[in-house]
Amino acid sequence: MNHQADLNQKLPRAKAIGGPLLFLAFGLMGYLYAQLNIGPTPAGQLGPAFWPKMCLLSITLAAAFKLFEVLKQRRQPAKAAAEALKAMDNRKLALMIAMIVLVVPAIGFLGFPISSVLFFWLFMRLAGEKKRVRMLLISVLGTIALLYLFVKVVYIPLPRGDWIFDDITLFIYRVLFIQ
Amino acid sequence: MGGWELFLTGLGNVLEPFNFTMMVTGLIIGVLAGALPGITMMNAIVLVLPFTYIMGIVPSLLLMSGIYCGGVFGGSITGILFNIPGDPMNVPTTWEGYKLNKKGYVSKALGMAIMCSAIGGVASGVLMTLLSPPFAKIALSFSSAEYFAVVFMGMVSVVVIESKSVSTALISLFFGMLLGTIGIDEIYGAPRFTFGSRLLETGINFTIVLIGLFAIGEVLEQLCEKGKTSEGVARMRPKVHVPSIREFWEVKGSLLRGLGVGVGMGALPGAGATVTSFVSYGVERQCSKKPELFGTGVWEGLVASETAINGSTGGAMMHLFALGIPGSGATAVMMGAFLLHGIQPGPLLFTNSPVEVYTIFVGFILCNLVMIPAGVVCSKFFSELMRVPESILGAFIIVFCLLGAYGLRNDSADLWYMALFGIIGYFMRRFDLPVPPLVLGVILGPLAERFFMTTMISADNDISVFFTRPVSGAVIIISLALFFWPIVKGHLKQRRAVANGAKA
Repeated sequence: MNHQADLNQKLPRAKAIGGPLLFLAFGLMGYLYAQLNIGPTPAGQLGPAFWPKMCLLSITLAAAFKLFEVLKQRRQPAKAAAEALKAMDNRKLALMIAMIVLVVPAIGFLGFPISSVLFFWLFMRLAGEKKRVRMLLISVLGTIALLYLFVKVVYIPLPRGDWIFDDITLFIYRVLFIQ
Repeated sequence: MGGWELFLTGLGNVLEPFNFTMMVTGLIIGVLAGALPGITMMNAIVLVLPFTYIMGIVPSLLLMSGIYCGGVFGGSITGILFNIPGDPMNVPTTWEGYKLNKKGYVSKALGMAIMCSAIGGVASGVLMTLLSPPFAKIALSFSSAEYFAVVFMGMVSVVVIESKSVSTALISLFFGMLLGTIGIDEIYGAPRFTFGSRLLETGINFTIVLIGLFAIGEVLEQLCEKGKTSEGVARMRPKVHVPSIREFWEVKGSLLRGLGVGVGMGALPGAGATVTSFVSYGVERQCSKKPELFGTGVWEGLVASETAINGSTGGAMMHLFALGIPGSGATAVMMGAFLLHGIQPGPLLFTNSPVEVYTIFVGFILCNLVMIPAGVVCSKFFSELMRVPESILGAFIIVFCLLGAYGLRNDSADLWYMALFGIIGYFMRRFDLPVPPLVLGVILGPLAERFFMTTMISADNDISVFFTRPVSGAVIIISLALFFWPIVKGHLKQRRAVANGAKA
């Protein structure tokens, strides 16, 4: 029990110190990168590297100040860090993040209409929706509504996909009188 | 014709059925475009431009004015309801409005936002009518040093946004500013942090950062909370509660300050509604007796920023009419409409086409009044979405965000950015890193850089120029005072407490 309590105290503390340290290192390394790689600086002018270097220097200074604040409070209980976070369903979270990332190449490859229907269906299912007919209707009708709004009304040429999917998307557009 | 005669003639013209219909149509299009992420007010104005070829100049500009007034307000609706600001200018409204929604004040928050927008818009319209020529002449004397000072003031509101830890907020702000430097540098044309990638060369659009950080992070947090089911949430049907005079009286100070900041900053060409809304929010927090409550859902923040946004619209129009210089993107398109009809905006406009000018002035004021019922109707429509289960709403929000991100530049790279910032936004919330300063940095950083570098080039790298020019010097000193005052006040308080403890 004591070991667990000790660990509970140490973890937020490590997080509190780790964050500013990470930004401190990032700021310094970024500064070095900007110094060496951004340029050239015209004579008598500040040059293109000036502003990013100022940002990086400011990040470093702010992180150093934060680190100083954290270290100054070392004898006080880490109240902010120990505050209970909302309990999250990590599996669901990981799957949702994966879906948000995967839908991006899917839109490029499958085209918007197909990937949108698939995304709607899978995302709603994952989020806890159980009524299949409702899910199907929303996926299909929602996609059609968005296609009309973005392609027909505001003339945004949404990705049509590669390979055979380009033809399928065009077919869908023709059926829906979008193009 | 005298001023009043022109005003009354203008009123008669606006109330002609076709002109009035165009104005109301514009308002509804504007509110909807402003509210839907990815479809901006600018998109809407550009899209209606071809339709104005077949109309006269008055209905054309009334249609565009309607879109402009409705568009700057529209983004607040989705900000308050779903934590998705339709436009960067609606971010401060979202900070307070969404929290008020979570506290159960959604109806009042929507009503307050509509009324404050209308009041700000009407006041700026009246001032535009009365003060157009002299005000715009003063603004012409401003240079990039003054603009930098104003943007700097906007950035100082980082202290306002995050009172828990100034250092953390500063890290977030500077990180946002750094993100704003990615891509090809505007002044020197040099690539920065592109690592040879085409995706990075185009830079990161701040609207994408905004949509990702706010909307995706929120959806993930809402849907992945343990013990929460899709069926048990989002069942209420909020109405729009138009605040009473007594409720307005309670926030009169915030309203007046918001109006002052909005109208004053609106008169600066280039400052724009976004900077105005941030500055107004910052000023309001400094003037508040309970600044620590800002960001948790306080009426003062919502009222000040919302009044300031619409309060700045008249200023942007002022430059167009009086000087022929558009004060914002939207007024630039309006200038196009003028030119299409063979009319050159500028000082001669008041002599050559006074009736048309006053018709548009009156129309602008009326637009803001008609925005009250139009805003209520549109807010009710969007409020209905609150009844949709979160599983469905979440899916729609994400698809809308993807489309919104893609639609900005028709570039698939923006989809990757959106997904990335969505995930970053979620983890920033989890690890207690403040999101708003980062957004502020991405939005205002490039503006600050442009004005700073231009000033430095014209002043031979003499930084004292910011302090020797009276207006920029005054604004920077006020900003620094606003920044350091809470820190000094905190230290004084601590000292007093220690001294009192020692005495006891």
